[in-house]
Parts: sequence; C-alpha cells; structure tokens
Amino acid sequence: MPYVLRRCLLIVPTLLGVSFLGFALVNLAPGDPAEQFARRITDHPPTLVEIAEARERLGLNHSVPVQFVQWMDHAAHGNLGISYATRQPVSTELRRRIPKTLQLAVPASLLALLIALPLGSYSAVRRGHAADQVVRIGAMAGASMPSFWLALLLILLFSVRLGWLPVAGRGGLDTYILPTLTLALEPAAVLARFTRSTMLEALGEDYVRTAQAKGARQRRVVTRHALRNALIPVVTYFGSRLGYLITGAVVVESIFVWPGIGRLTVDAVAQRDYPMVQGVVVFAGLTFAVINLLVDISYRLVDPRIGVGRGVSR
Amino acid sequence: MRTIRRVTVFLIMALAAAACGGGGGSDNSSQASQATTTTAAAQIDTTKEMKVGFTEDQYIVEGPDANLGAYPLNTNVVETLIYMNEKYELEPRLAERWEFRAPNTWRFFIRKGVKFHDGQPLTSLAVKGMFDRLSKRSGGSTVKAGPDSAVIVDDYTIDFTPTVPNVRVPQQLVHPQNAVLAPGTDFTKKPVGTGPFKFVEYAPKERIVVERNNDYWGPTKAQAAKITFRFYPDSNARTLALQAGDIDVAYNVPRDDVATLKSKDFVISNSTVGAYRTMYVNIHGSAPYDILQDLNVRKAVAIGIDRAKYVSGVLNGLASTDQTWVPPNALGSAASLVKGFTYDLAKAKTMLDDAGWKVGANGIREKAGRQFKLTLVSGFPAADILRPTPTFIQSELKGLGIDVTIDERPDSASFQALVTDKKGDLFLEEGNQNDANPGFLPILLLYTGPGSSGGTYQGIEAPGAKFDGLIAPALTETDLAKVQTIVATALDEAITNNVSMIPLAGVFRSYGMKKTVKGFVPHPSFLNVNWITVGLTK
Repeated sequence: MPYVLRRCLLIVPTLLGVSFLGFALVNLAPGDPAEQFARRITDHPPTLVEIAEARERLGLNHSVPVQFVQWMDHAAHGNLGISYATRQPVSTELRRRIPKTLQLAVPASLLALLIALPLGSYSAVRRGHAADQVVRIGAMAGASMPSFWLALLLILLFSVRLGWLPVAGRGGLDTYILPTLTLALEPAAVLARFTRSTMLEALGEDYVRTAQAKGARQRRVVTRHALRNALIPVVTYFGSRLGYLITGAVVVESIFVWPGIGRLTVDAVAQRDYPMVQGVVVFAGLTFAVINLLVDISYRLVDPRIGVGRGVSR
Repeated sequence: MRTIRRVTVFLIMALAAAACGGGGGSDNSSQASQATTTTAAAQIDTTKEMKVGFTEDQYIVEGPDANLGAYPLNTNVVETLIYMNEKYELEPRLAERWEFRAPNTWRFFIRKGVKFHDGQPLTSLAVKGMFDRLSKRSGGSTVKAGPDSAVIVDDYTIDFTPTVPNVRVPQQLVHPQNAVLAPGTDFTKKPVGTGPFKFVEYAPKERIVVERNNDYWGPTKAQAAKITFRFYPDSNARTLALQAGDIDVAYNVPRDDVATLKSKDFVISNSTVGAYRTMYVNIHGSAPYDILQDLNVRKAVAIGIDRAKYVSGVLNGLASTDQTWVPPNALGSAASLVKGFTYDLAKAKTMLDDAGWKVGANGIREKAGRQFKLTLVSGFPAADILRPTPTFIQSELKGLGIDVTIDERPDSASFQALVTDKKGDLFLEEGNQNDANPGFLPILLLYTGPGSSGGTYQGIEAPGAKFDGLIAPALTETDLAKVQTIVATALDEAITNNVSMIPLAGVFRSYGMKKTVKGFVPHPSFLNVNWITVGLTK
C-alpha cells in the first residue's frame, strides 16, 4: 500500500484516540454542563427541576460511555452535535472560526519564516561576530518571552502610548498587526536558532568545502548547498508550530479578542460545552495529522535523496 | 502517537487558559441625576457615533432562548413592558399601567402610538407573542408562562395568567429577556423592537452595532447617532482599549484600574449597589465540613471580619458595607431591618472560647483534639474576580485562631460542583440582582417550604422552618412595599440570627469613560443601562 495512503488511513484511529481523550478530559473536569446551561438561560442559580430539564434536553442523562458512542455515531455521519452554549451546530461554529484563525496563522507563519531563515543563516555565516551575538541574544529573548507578556508590551507601546494601532478586536487591516506580530515572534526566534545550528553543521560538511573549493560564490554556497540541507529539522519544527497556530493560539486570541479557534476552545472548556470541545479536538487532531503528513512529504522536496516512507536512499 | 501527544498538550493548554480566567468598582460622583442628563443633552453632538466596550459576548441566537441584542448586553433595540430604573424602582415602558386581578391574573394596558422599527404598531398581539415565547422557555421563564397564559382583551389590553400563583410578575418582567418583539420576528438574527436604537449588524464575539431610531415613540430621541458595542472578555484589554481611545465607554472597569484611569483624566461613574459579595455558610455539613453547624461559632466568625477594612483596603472603597445581601434599593426603606454584624474581635474570641474552641500551641484553636480548620471555596463567577478576598478572609480568621484553607475554582461550573457536594465550609461568591423582585434570591436559594422549586444552595444553607414561615407571605402578597418588609425581616432571620450566610459587601458597578461622554447614568444592573441619553460632546 502506498505510504501516503497508509498514512491517511492512520488518521482514522488517531482521530478516534484523540476524540476519546478529549471526551475523557472534559468529563473529568469538575462541573455540571446541565447546571451551566440552565444558569446561562435563566440568569439565576438554577433549581433542581431546571437542571434536570437541561440534562434531559442536552442528552446528558446517559452514562459517559454511552454519550461517547452516541457522539461517535453522529460524528461518523458528519454531525458534530449542537453547541450547549450557542445552540448552533458545532460544524457551523467551526466553519465560522477557522478562517479567522487562519487569518492570523498564515501571515504569522510566513512572517516567522521571513524573519528566521535569513537571520539564522546570516548568524551562522557570521559566527562569532557581533551580528551573530545580536541575533543569538535576540532569538533567546524572543523564544523566552511569554506571548501574553509580549502582547501586553506591544499593546502598551503601539496602542496606549503611541495610539497607532487598536488594542484588540478584529476589523480593519490595522487590527491584524499586533496579534500577528505576537504570534510570529516566538516561532521566528526558535526557528532562527534552529536554522543557525543546522546551518553551522551544514557549513562544515565536505560538500560545502568542495563547492567553495570549486570557486562557487559564497551566496550560492550558503543558499543552494548549505541552507537546503539544513532545512529538514527546520521544516519539522515549522510544521509543528503551524499546527499550533492553526488550531488556535489560545492566549493570543484571548488577549486580542480574536474570535478564532483558540478563543472558542477556552470558552467551550469554561462553559463545559462538551460537543464544542469535541469538535475542536477533532479539528486539532485532523490538523496535526495532516500537517505531519505534509511535513513528511515535504522532506522529499527539500532533499530528493529521501524516499517518502523509506528514509534516505544512498 | 505524536499527534495524540500534541493534541493532548493543546487540550491541557486550553484547560489551563480557561483556568486563568474579570470585577468592577469608582467615584463618589454618580451622574445619576436627571438634571445632569438634561444639561448634558444640550452639549451633545447628535451626529457623533459612540463605541462601547462590553465584557463577553454571550448572546444565544437559536431557539426560544435566543436573546440577541437584549441579554446580557442590552443595546436598547428592544423594550420591556416595565423598566427597572437605577433605584430598582418600576417605571412604565411599553405598558402604561398594570393591575392584579385575583386570583392569579395580571392585566397590562399597552401604550398607544408605539411603532416597531419595521413600522408595525405595538398592540396586544405583539405582547402575546412575548408571553408565548416565554412559555417555550424552560419552566415558562421566571414569570411561569404557559401556552395559554396570555389572553388578548382588546388591541391595547392583555391578561396574563401564570401557570402557578405568581404575584411578582411586574418585577420579573423588567428583565430584558422579556422584551416585546415585532410580530413575525425573533431574537435569532435581527431583533425588531420599539427601542430608541435600531439593530444594524452583529458579528459574533466581535461587535454589535445599533443606530438611532428617529421614529422613537418617547419624548426624546437617542443622543448618539450610532453605537458600536465591542466585546472585550478580558478586563485588561477593555481598560487598555479605553486608554488607547478605541472605545468611549467601558463596562465593568476593574477596581485596580480606577486610580490609573482617573489620573489619566478618564471619568469613572459608579452605580449604587448592584452586586454583592457574600460567603454562604455550610450549616448542614458533615465531617470534615461540620464545624459551622454550631450557631455561636458561625456568629463568632461573622463578627470577626472587619468589613470596613475589607471595603477600603481590598475593594478600594468601591463598595459599601451593606449586609442586606440583595441590593438595599431592592428592599427600599425596609433594608434597615437587616441588622447584620458589627465587627468585634474580642467578643468573637470570647464566643469561640465559650464554644469550647481553645487556642492551641501553634495559635490555632482546638477542641477535643480537633483543630479549627475551615475550607473557603472561591469561584463564582470565577476565582480571579474574587481575589484577594479569600486571602483577606484567611488573614482575618487567623486572627481568631482559625486556620482557613483556600480552595479556588477557576469557573462557576467547578464551584457549583462543590456546592452541590457540600465540600467546603464557606462558599464565596459575587452575585447580582437583575430584576426588581426583592424576594427572588432569598426564595430561590433559601426557602424550602411549600412551593419551593429546590436548588443546590438549600443543601448547604437553608435556614429552616422559621425563615420559611417569615418569607412565605411574600409568595402571595401583591403590595411591593409589604413584600420588601417581609423579605427584609426574613433576611434578618437568615443572616443576623441564623448566619446562613456572611455578607461581606455591596459592590458598585463601575463604568469608565472619556470626558467627552455626557448623559450617562450608571445602572446597578448591567442589563438595564439606558443609552438614550448618552452621547459625545460637540
């Protein structure tokens, strides 16, 4: 069976596993979704009768395993259920939120790459020089800084002090700048460090020395010979970061009031909105599975010696 | 496997973020007076648009519970038959008057000459639609509406008969979820009401926009041409948005930000008490949560807490030391009947000594080999909103020789689970009163007599037969002033005599705004803010 098809089929048990895990985790969290639901619609501490009605209405009067099996059955037919909180289909809510998260994740990923690859390569080429030190310290700071802290610093500077950009919310292009920057900086810093170290390794290889000995220009040696070979671990890391960005940057979306998947996840967990949590879990599982597959496939593009599913061929 | 691991990490991150979950408080210069509003109107530029920062978007946009534009953020697109003003008093709105017709019917006389935003006239038909909508909600909503409850008498008169005896219908109808919609419309996508503003657009979790209704039936039109309400669940983001000029008004300003905002020339407008902080006492607990079964011990704990210090030191003065639990205005002049507790540390110590709890070697009291340890559960609506109150209580009770363990719950669901299971001695929460029925919460949470609907709180704190007997007349009395007296007397029994709860403070609702905002009247209930008078200066 072709490797790609095998990997695609593996997604099914993976999704089953993550769904079960998600269901178990939300059910382990203390709190009664029926009580939450009743309180939300009545605006007062619900009575036992109201809680019982809510439980019946939400289908929570079955045991957890039965609920899980029921959910699986519906999910297999493309029905992810109805959100306890909004009373809308989970799939509708996901469809509404995913594009908004992508609107941040895609530019943030590109920005991270645009920052990291040149800086990491330059730092490796200029190893030991002042520029290298600056890049290393900057990357260290960027990788260490919590995103919520960075977000607040950016808001204080660009929104409160300078008044150039809005604090939060989604609207015009200016509302994208701060959350994108916040999302991009940490992966950019880590990627730059990755790129630097893998470039240093590649620059010490025989084929690089051979290219230099043959009189190839330094730029060509770096970009065509060293960087290309240094990219595999970078691609692996980038793939995993992309997964996190697409499945919702929980903290950044919360701070910048961005109505994406991350914010949806936080709300769903807090409200004990089990169907929504399950929907997000399935989406996250699917995203990571697909990205992992794409990363594996991309290895071959980066290094043609690698046969997909067979490792490096000599 | 790698994928499962990553998704697990993602889920744990999400749970942790949810656990890191906003509060309110301001100035003594409440802008509530009508005179101020009138003066402000002269200074307002009616062509200007306003931006308002609200908390979280919690609109429901499906089914009979849908409430877009009405609750919890009331955008003034829709109106109720009766309005509750900032003093918890009833004012006629779409109903000009109402009367009780024994044994269980309320007759409403509908205002004439009112039109919905789509041009339809307001008649009894629309009001019947409202009651029919409520009948489809859980339990027929608070008013207890049934499918046959509303009967049209004529175009401008309608009778409403609840499914069970309910003499508090007018006080309950003030809630914006009970608003009247144009016939043939609903709350799911585009609410069509009679209010001073018309619905423009709604972007879930982002904003809701309304514009002035130039055909509004009232004597004055809205001052702002348009209002964009933006949702900021995070209180810091909301305050920063105000400072950055993104919004003109911010709901629920955190009390820690009040001094900063004032120093930067922003106006802080405080309502009267609209919320309360209280500790519900587990008086029916079993070991290890049974120490507070002793009434004298409960009283000692209650008088051992310095509320003046709490209000000034912890709540930055943005609260009152009222111990009525429900907002004092809801009880009217009867509020003074709830005596509460006077701080007396020496007397508290003596009472504990007399109860057999003697100070041990490590300063913690002991009785028959058992140390005096209490568990304080904090978490409604969320632990972060209530901080640092638990630490304050812990410190105060340590002075009495009581060792308090704090159990913080990130959200109301996990808090409620402990209430239901009675796992704790003291349950700290901040609640609020959003309708004008003074007996609503006491009956809902404490009453166990005939007609009680039951609830999780009764399990820990129901005071018992004497309280039930005192408050029962409120279930059948139609005169509001008499009800206020009945409820206040019963509350005095529950609080002062029985210590079923230990009220800590009455909390103000704080709104932050630019100096250019005029005509704002701070309402103690966030649900009932009246935006018609508010605008920006020329």
